[in-house]
Amino acid sequence: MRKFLLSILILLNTGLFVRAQVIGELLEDESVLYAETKQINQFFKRFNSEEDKDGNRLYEGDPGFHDNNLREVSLPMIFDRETSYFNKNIEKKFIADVTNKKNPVYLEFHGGEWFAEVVIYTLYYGRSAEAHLFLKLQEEEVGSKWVLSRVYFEPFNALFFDNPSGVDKFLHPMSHELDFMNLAKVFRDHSMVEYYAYDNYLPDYLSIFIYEMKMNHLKFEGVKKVKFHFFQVDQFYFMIEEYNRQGFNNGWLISKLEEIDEDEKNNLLNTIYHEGN
Amino acid sequence: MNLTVLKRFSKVLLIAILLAGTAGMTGCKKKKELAAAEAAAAAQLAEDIDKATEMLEGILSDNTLDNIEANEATLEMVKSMNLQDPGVLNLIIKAQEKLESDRVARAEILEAERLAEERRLAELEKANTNNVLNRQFAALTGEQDYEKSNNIINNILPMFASKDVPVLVIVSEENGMKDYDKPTTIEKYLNYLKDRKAYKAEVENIVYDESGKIKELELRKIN
Amino acid sequence: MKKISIIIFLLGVFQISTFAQDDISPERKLAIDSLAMEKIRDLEKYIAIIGSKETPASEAQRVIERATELFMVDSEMGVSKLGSDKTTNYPVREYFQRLMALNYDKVTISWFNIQYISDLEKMPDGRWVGVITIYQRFEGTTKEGLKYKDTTKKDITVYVERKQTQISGRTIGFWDVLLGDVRVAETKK
Repeated sequence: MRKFLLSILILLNTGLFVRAQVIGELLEDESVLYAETKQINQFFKRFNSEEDKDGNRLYEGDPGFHDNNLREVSLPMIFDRETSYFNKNIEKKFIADVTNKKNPVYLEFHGGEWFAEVVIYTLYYGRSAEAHLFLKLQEEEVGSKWVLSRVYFEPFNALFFDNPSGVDKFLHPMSHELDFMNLAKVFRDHSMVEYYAYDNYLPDYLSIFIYEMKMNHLKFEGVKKVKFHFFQVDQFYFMIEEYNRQGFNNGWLISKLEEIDEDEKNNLLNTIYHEGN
Repeated sequence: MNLTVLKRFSKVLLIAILLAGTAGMTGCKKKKELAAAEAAAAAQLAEDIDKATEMLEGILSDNTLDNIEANEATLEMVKSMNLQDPGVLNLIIKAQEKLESDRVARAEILEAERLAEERRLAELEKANTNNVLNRQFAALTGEQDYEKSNNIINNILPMFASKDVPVLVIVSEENGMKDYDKPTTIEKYLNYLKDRKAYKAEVENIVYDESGKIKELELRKIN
Repeated sequence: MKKISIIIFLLGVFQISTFAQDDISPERKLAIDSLAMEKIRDLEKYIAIIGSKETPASEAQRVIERATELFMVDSEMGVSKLGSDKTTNYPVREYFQRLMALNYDKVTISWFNIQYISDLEKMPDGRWVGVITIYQRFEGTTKEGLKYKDTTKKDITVYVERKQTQISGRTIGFWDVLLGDVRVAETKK
């Protein structure tokens, strides 16, 4: 019975976020705008069923607030259905998990595990290059702010651990008896200095990025792309991107969904951060 | 002593005896008359006292403030009766006191009515001025032509002490505490109305300076 | 979309926002949201006046000043066109000047009824910040009769701060609502 009613609901509203108005040109134009997930803020609200189909905010006690039946129906609509591919079973499991009546999962703007990846255009020593900035929302004593947490920049990456013969380099264990005079040889060939660092040393690209900016070698040219990575649903990862196109499937939508365990999560994070490459 | 004297003495003696006899007969009558007069006077006095008492009690029991003058005239009349009856004298004092307090009470009521009327007239005038301003602001938003709009602005501005007179718009009020939009000046506000073509407020309060010009304007936003 | 000419009266379905980490009553929030939307509507109106070829230059210049006053200092318009990832940033005053100088014989600027107001978030400096999204339709006709149309999505930053000032010797509390950076993106609509 419930499924039947839900089907009627879907039929009556072509897409749950459609606003019924007069017919004709007016209807399509305005409805498309209502359907679009216009802000990240709205993505959170729609994911959590914290707004109605017209985009009006819902509060605790309002009909539809955190309504998992509604979420079951509306969640599929915030996936990119035009260019991304989703495994049907994983998607089904994901939706079932987050709308689970006993332990539903709602996304948290503050405090939840999610971060932004911003791809930017730069000029590095006069040459165009893209950098990936990773930002997270940091809670302050008063309010919150976005902060840079990591950077990936290919020109930096190319400088480190790029020489296979470097793994054979070391300062021998009696170097101390000669006042470390062999450091001269280390630094004479400055292309391999990183191989003399401690085990598992990884360069901090954020610091280098800031340094190069301060030295005016690196210039910001503009934002190319913004994505958001979510690890808030246990055993799942998803990413959202913005789609600017005609039709109802538009705005900020899920572009990737994966089922992951803890190991896979760490690997995935390394991939996202381009670490361990 | 000769006979003439004796005859004369006898006549006098006879007259004296006759007079004495007559006198004796007149005293009795007068006493009766006196007693009767005294009784009548006493009865009159009693009647006067009763009448005075009734009039004075009438004054004391009058709970309206409508007959103060008439009561005072009555009181004067009673006083002019010069009755010395202690009861009456006591009532006279009480009536005097009552009429004094009646006068005070009536004066207070009249003053309150006067003030209320003054306030009513002031409110009416304020409402009129409020309405005048409201209408003018609405007229400004309805005018499409820039020159005509500027003319309307130039007609409104002289009502104000200067073009920098502060305009405060109440956006919300809670427990008597008002929240305002950012304060602006009348010139800026009028130009805002001209541009925006929407007047979504009404006049709440106007403060005038000594010369009758508006020196502060408070509006309340309406949705 | 209802084609609305320069005289615009917006009847929006306006969506109520909330304050995250809030300490303001719902009624006050409502009033502040309403105030913020009024500023947006002011901006829309000013843009229409500035862009219209029927506006005398002196009036357009005056309105540019008023429009600029809606914004915080150093606010920028970040504009991107379809088919390009690049965004060009203009200081707001320059954006308005460019709008006024567009080489069309006739310009019509109108807005869709919809607007979306985000929650208001608190910043470390104690002020609140939110974003309001609106959609604008621009139509320009050249002397030769050529028409240009576009629809842009505007994400407008809104800053809200409680302030006090002295008026005629008494302290007045007011909400200072200022606009900030605006992301202007051409849409495929």
